[in-house]
Amino acid sequence: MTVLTHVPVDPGPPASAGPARVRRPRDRGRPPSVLLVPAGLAAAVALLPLVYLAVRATERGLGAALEVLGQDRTVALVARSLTLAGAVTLVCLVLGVSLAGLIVRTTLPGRRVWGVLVALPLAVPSYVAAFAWLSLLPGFGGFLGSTLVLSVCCYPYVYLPVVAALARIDPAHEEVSRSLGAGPVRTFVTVTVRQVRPAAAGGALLVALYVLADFGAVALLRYDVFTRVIYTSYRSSFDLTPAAVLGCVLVALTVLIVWGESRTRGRAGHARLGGGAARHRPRTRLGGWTPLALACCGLVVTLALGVPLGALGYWLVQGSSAGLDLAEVSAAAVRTLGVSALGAAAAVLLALPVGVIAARYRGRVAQLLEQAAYAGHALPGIVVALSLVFLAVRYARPIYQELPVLVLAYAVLFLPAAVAAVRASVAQSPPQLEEVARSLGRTPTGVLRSVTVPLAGPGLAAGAALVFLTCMKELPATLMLRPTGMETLASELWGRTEVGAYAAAAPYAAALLLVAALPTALLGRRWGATASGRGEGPES
Amino acid sequence: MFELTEPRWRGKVGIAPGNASFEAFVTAMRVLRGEQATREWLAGMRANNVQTFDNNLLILKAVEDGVVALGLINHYYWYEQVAERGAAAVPTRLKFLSGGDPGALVNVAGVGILRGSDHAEQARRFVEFLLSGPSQSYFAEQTREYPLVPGVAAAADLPPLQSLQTPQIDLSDLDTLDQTLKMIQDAGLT
Repeated sequence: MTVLTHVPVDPGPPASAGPARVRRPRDRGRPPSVLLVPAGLAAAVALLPLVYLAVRATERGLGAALEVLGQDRTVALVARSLTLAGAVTLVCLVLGVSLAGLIVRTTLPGRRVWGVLVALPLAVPSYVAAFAWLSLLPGFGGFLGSTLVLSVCCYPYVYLPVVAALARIDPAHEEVSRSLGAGPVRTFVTVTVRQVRPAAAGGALLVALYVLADFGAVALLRYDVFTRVIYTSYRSSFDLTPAAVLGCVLVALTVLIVWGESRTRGRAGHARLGGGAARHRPRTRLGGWTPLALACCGLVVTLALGVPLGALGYWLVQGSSAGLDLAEVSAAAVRTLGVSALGAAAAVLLALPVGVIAARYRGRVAQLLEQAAYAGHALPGIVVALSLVFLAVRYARPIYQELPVLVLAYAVLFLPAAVAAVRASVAQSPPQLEEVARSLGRTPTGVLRSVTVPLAGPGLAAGAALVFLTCMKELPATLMLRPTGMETLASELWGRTEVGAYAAAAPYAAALLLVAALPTALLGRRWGATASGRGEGPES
Repeated sequence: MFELTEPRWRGKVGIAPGNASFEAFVTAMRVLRGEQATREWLAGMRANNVQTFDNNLLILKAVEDGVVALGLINHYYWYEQVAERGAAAVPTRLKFLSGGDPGALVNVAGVGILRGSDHAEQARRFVEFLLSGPSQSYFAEQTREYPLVPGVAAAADLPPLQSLQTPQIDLSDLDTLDQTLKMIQDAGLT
């Protein structure tokens, strides 16, 4: 479920474009084997779950796999998963774009506070939100419930990039539109929205992928989409072919969506010469619409933040009267910290060679290695977990349901985030420094150790911290792979919510919310400042 | 059980199709009423918009909250609630099915030792521990299950085991779990 938070919201320039300002990177030849060998290993690790899932799905013969594929249930699942993803994406697009427009472009009162508030739901893991709604409204769930919960958790994925895009665009087009007689609303819809379309589409892609991969919310809200059915099938059946086949179908859907989005992006041309000037522009006066705009913002914030926080507060009070076991909560927190630190370390170590190659070398090999490492993007947590269960049971029995398998799952799932961090931070330092070190006699390993890694240090640390926090929230892989008896914050919340013990679950939900809020608070401060601005100009 | 596919129960029944007790009950239905009737019952439940839950406790909660009108659970979950909160505070009632209905199946919570076990001796001692008087008293008093060892009495608030109108079935006939799982899956319930 958390796999997808890491697709960079605003994909940076391609590897070759970053250092281009310093000097066009020449063909530096083949990467040294000190990089190539570990990078190859990382790529293999990233692809292993996918490959083995396919092997396991067809193990009982292609016929058995095709039988599962052809069942009415599978067809219904595809339809239901795509409908849910489509509905949530649509709601998020509407919410994200309108909120961004209101907050960046109008005279909405209190827009700086709203700018921070509407970004905050990014910090609410979807299963915590589902827990909150379910604990307040028994019987809540199904398609509408899932759409509501996932939408209020995901719309910031659209809102944040659109805010950034709005702040960047040149107001000239809008001025032309207004001067030709179009009203402010028509101008916003026909001119402004079209200009932020790439940003909104990127956000929508993240939302769709998040929904397809989400396990916790749909499972708690009892809506049978792929992730929930894979989990049920895995738990209740000896024949694991259906689970494996459904896992493959889910991956195929994910890949199809990514491919589809990249195709539409390729065609959408935006004629514009030069960077344009992001000048100050007057905000649109809301006038008599102000109360309605305020009510809309208030409603979104209430549904997205108020309900989860309210439910948590309510159950914490209820629970503390029944006696809150702080020792147990902190023990789970400590275990979660430990296993997440291992996961982050593994992900960054694996990502290091791939990221350095991606930042410094061009050519087919570099490209293939990087793409392989990004496989985790297309792999929902439940699929990686399922594949690693199969692998460990058959080929690594002694470590089945032991820590290494769980750490490996985290590494595979969050390798994309780690590679992106490594690549970006390595690309920031000029390659000449490494060339000088080489010319002064350092070996390739020596250069890595004394120049590349130290210079990239802060970026690496930030990447590791992000992976660390994401590991702490991870649910499906943690549920399926954690060592017997080892409870983390996420698994404790799950176990208690699963039996309807909401008051007992609340402290774990609160702890998870705190964990998730850390990176969002930092992000929100940055974006919030851009979004609200001072005076009339978005850039001031 | 067979009434539950009727329109008046539409959307009002909760089951936990992945639960081992539900699976054993479906196997019993297959043994007692035949494959065809069972397949039709499962399809009928699905068509009647049966609500599926992950476990018995969630069904209990759903009935309590009025989300569904009726749920199929093992009896002891309800007695645990009553023991914890008192009968007056529990807004649900338990009904044991009568007339040898497959839903009245009394199943055992069995324990076995793998033939290939590397720790056969420890396993045997563990089984003996489970069958000992104190362990059986624990299951009787704490989890409200019926003890199977002579000399250990069931909890006083349970109806006597002999009074239950269970179906005539040899529990060792419930050995075709694979087909049951496939049938539940084919019906689209898991």
